[in-house]
Amino acid sequence: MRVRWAVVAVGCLAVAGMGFVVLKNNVVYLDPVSEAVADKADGRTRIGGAVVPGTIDGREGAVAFEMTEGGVVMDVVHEGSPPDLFEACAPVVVEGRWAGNTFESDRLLIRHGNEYEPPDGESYDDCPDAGDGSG
Amino acid sequence: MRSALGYLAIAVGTAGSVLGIATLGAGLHLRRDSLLRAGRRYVGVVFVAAICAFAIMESALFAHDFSIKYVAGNVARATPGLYTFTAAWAALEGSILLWVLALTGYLAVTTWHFRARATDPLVAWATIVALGVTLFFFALMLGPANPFEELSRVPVDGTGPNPLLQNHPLVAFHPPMLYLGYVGFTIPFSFAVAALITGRFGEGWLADVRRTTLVAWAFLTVGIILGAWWSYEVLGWGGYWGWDPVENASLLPWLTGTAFIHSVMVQERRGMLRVWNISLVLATFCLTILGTFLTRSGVVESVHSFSESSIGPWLLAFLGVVALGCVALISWRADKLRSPGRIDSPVSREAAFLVNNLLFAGFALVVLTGTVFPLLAEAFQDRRLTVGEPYFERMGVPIGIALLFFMAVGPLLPWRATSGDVLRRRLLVPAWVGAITLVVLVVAGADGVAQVVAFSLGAFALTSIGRTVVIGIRARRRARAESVPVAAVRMVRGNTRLYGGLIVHVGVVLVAVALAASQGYVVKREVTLTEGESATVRGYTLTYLGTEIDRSPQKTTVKALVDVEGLGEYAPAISTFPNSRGGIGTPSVHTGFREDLYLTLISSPNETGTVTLGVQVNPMIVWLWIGGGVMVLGTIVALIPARRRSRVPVTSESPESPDSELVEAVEVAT
Repeated sequence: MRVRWAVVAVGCLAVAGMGFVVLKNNVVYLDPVSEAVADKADGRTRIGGAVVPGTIDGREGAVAFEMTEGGVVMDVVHEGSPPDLFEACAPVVVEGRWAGNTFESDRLLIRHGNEYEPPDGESYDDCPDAGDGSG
Repeated sequence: MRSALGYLAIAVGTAGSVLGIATLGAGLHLRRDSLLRAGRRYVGVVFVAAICAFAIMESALFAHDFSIKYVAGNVARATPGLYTFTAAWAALEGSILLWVLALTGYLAVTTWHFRARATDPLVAWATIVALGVTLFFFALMLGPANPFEELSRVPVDGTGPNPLLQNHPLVAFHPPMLYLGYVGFTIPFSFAVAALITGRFGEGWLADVRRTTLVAWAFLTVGIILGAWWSYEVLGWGGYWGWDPVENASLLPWLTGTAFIHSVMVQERRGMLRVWNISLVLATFCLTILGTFLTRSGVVESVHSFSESSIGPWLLAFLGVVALGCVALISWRADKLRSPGRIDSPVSREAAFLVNNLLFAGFALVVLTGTVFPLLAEAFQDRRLTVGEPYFERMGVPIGIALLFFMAVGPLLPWRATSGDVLRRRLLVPAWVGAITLVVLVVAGADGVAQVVAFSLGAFALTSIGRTVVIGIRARRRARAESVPVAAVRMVRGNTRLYGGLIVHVGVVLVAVALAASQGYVVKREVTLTEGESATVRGYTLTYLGTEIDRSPQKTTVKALVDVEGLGEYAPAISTFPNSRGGIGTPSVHTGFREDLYLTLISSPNETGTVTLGVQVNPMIVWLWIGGGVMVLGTIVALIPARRRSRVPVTSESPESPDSELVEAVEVAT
């Protein structure tokens, strides 16, 4: 009986360890642009910021634009069509990997208006007014 | 006026809960049956108070009584009647009210059911516990989540519900079903706690709560499936499950609840797994509270974050108290909970149930870890992160496949022990069918290991269920000359629990196959078309015909009219609502038994007149909904009281070699 329990315990530990590794490999951090640019993390990352007006290039299929937060600007290339609400100053979250100084995104989400604001009241008020030569 | 009346109803409910608990407590302490009988009457008071509060809320919504903050925030004059009705649970305060209504309803039915046992301490304690939970939720509405809070300045018009909650009639069904599921687990929880307190943790309390547990489980199943359907038909991202924290929150109690429904049978049969069963019930309840916390406190980012609120800490504190209380109770009773029986053989029904339970519990642990990990990381590391879908898939798929295997094998194993001979005979046909399916799929070049394994196990499971049914019918027909349908119906009526369970298993197989196919073989394209232009995706030829715009005070809808050759006209759309900047996409779906064609409008026509359409071909999705329906049907069958068991006489012709099929038919059915 003792032996059987030991086997069960070892099995559980092995499964838990495996689970932890899988978990660790699939964690995607969500950072604001300023931190993300400072870190340039290796794996898959999510970055939140606002679309800089006048930088949107392309629409259907792929889009390149600049994203800003905390006074830092970064280049994003997104594979796929952005959603309808993608526009200058839109609060967006991109998910993907860094390739040099450009962030290659394959998932682009719009943070919705007031009712979807992140709980900690994070804001992207560095975004210039949409009136300034928006694209 | 309404505000005052509504608040009064809530106050009455709160007071009723307190008085009920006090009276029952005094009755138990003083051993006075009259007090116990009086105490249970407060359940009626509480139920009526909840009904009144809910009715007042509905009347306020329909009367556009914007002096009430909740009404002003969730209904506009332009909101259609259906969504005015459903606005009662469109935001936090109202959904707590619906929660309380469901809870007191369950409690009232339970109290009525046990009216003859009102003086039984087990029932009295269970009532106290359930009233305690009711009290907590009433108190929430009395304080931090008052649905009848007044506005000092009454607006001319309200803002209307969140766009997502006024875009599809499913809002009338998905949340209430889920709540009926969540809340229903309060009753088994109350009885489990009562069993621990009274020390009567034999098998009696299990029989008392079996039906309620099944009802709650069925509602939760329906709620989850409807949620998936809503996600698919309304949200328009092309999927039905995204491992969203709130989706996970509904899956967690479902997993532990399902484990309980199975392990209960081991305890009823063999008196084993007592601690485990009680723990499962307690855990299921805790997980429903955790689910409410995740859904309603705004701590996680989710498509369900309809409300931010201040009740988060309250729910967390309640969860903490309940969880600590449970652990304390169990450890207090630990030595008495020791089960008399033990597992004789690793190849037996009870061993299969045990493995099934470990798998369910493991699954729950995997989902729980992935769901709360971001919260912990944010709390302790101050970093925001999400756990990617691959984590859930990589961990969940093997567990799901193992569960499918044990689901197929479990019902074939006899209790206690099995001889290799019996096992071989029972598994022969199903195993061959499974193996042949596997070979055919591999030869045909089917993609995906998980898919091929899931389909083969599905075939294995279906055959083994079919075999059980055929043998049962044959045995009846041999014993008394009944026609096949009559024999089938009488067989099911004679043991609704077994055959109801097998029907549920058929539903599970359908769901599993649909999940595997739709996850593995989806085709996803984006096409950009000008008016009159066509494109072909996977054999479907789509022609963009033009745009139609519908304007109503509630919303403005832009539809792209798309002709699909041979199927007709479809119109994926994007709606914008006056109270929100965002647009809400509405997919247009052609549903088929083999596959769905799923069209979404990604970007509405621009200056040059082109639209971008999302085109997805999703195989076998419809079987997900059908499978869900079959699961519910099976649960309903299992809930029907079995006819007085008319046993098939086991008088075999030759005593030295008893007819194995007949023996099996009797054995499986017991």
